[in-house]
Amino acid sequence: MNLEHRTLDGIDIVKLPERLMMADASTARAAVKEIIGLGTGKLILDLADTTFIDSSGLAVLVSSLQAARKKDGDVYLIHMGNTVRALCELTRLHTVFQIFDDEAAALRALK
Amino acid sequence: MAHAGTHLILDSNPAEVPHLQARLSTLCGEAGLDDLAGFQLTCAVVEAVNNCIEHTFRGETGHQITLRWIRQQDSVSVEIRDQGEPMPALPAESPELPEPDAESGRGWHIIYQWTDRVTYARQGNENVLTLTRRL
Repeated sequence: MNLEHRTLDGIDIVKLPERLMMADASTARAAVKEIIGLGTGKLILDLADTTFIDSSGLAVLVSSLQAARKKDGDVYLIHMGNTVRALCELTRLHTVFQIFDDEAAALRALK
Repeated sequence: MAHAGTHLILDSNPAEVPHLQARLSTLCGEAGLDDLAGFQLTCAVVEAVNNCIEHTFRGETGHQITLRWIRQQDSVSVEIRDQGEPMPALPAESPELPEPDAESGRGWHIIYQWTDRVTYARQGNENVLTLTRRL
């Protein structure tokens, strides 16, 4: 799985795929953890293209957060659609992640 | 994944589940479920199939899972059949969520919260799990 990744002012920004499901979860988890390991620990996950996540995909988000916080960083989520947001609210992940409508707001908060 | 009419047949392979998800989304739309309700039912079914692959077949590919889409006047049901090990009894009600930072344990909560009825029966050598959502 190739994740679109760029870095801005020490903050890694990763665009997640259209679907984040069990089939690709372990690959995505490893890719994001590698980015966190090589970076500052400050990460923005962009869900603009993401229309479906299952519980394995949620686990990727959680493991990313744990890896980032080990480096005193954090993971912010942006561009979350209504359906994925409903899943995050059902599973209470919205209580552990900061969620922003756009990248600029997330960048300001992470700096 | 093969499908004939309202039967969907897939292998116990995680790589097949995204195709199932796409097909279910279409079926939900055709049944008149709005985007959110369709997403919720699809999510519940995907979690059930993931459980089947991960637990019933212990991650082993090469086993058939059959889904039947049943449209009724006021509901939609998805019947999931497999010939794996019998499932443990269903929880009586929606299981508690794990802590928000836990990496697993959300599947049954999603299934219960986003469907209106969950039933399980062992019929011969088959597990039959049925998820129903009111329209």
